[in-house]
Amino acid sequence: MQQVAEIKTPRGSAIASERVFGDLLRPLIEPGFRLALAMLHDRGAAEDAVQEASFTAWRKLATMRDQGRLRPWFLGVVANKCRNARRQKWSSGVSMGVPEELAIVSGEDSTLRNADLRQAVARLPREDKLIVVLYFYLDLPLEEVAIAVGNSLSATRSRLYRSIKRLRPGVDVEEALR
Amino acid sequence: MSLRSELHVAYDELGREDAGLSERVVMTVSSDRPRQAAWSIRLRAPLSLVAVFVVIAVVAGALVGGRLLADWRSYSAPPVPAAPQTPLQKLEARPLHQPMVRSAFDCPHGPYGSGGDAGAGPFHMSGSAVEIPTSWGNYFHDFLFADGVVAGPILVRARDLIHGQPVVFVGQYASGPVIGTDVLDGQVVEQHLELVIYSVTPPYAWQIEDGQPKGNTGCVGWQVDGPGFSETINF
Repeated sequence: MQQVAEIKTPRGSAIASERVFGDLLRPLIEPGFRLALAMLHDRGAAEDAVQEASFTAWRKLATMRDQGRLRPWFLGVVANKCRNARRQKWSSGVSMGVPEELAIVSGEDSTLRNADLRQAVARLPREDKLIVVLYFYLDLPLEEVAIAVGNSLSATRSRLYRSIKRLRPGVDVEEALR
Repeated sequence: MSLRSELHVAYDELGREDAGLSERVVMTVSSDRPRQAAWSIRLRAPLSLVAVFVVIAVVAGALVGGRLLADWRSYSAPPVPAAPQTPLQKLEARPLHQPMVRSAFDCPHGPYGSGGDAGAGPFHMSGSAVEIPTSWGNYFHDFLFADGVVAGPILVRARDLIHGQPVVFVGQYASGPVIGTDVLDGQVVEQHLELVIYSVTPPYAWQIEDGQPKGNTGCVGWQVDGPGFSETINF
């Protein structure tokens, strides 16, 4: 299981300095990219979303009071960028994000299973999908997931449980949470 | 295989981060910073001077012009009929429908759609994780969505349903009366009482910036008014 790097943030006004910002931002890029890729299913769009989120982080970082919330906050910004990217694409018409060539190029069972699972997650409501990706794919603790999506812990847990029920109807929720 | 493992395999199949992506992003963002700073340093001093002169000129002009105009009207002009109200003024004249409540227990919620967004339509709202605290209060980046084409203008107002304090708007769509200023990201911003969208076009989504003062209860009633509809949203 791959864990997202823990962020240690220095205190004080030096947070806005370039070097400190770089040090803070660097470990967030990889989880940000994975989140964006999982949400958008498009490598280029994912990189753009992370880049835009980083610009936003650069502007807003100095105003952050609780630096311990940096990682979920940044991932929340990435999620918003993804949402905007999706909406822009929707206006020009785009599929739900599963690469069309996948089913054609590869007939292997595992590839199809993976595509099915991605498609099942993609069909979840946007916030539920974000919670599933943050919790299961980025391995964030539920408390940070709640911060990232801007919801209460109980509401986030309830949405996660509901999503698990949708993705794996026959599986015990507690078992699926492991 | 657990659901977690299955999702790791499924999403890892889409690809991994390029080795140099982190450095590339940091370099790009860092290199943009000095340009922004230089702009603000070059512009800040002259703009403030210009602003002072403009304010003085406007006040003086209003005083002198107003007096001259009144004198001239008293001599010759017949009474001028009131100008017809603009569509926005008609919307502004509508009262806020949502009644005040006594406590958070009485605070209304929703209505929520299947996607988790609040609002029954034609407009919907959704929050985000972006929250910017200042000495005055907190600012939020929220999202406003439309179901599709809606005739504009669209007027958005909101207030704390327990304290009655208005929600203020800053940024691109902020409009209407200015009730104060705050410092956001090092810049002085005006706090407006209204948010106005003049043209509802694809992708029918707007990121809005709204602020609530310290001590707000979080029980906020939103009202979206447009020609032919008035919608209330709680979230």
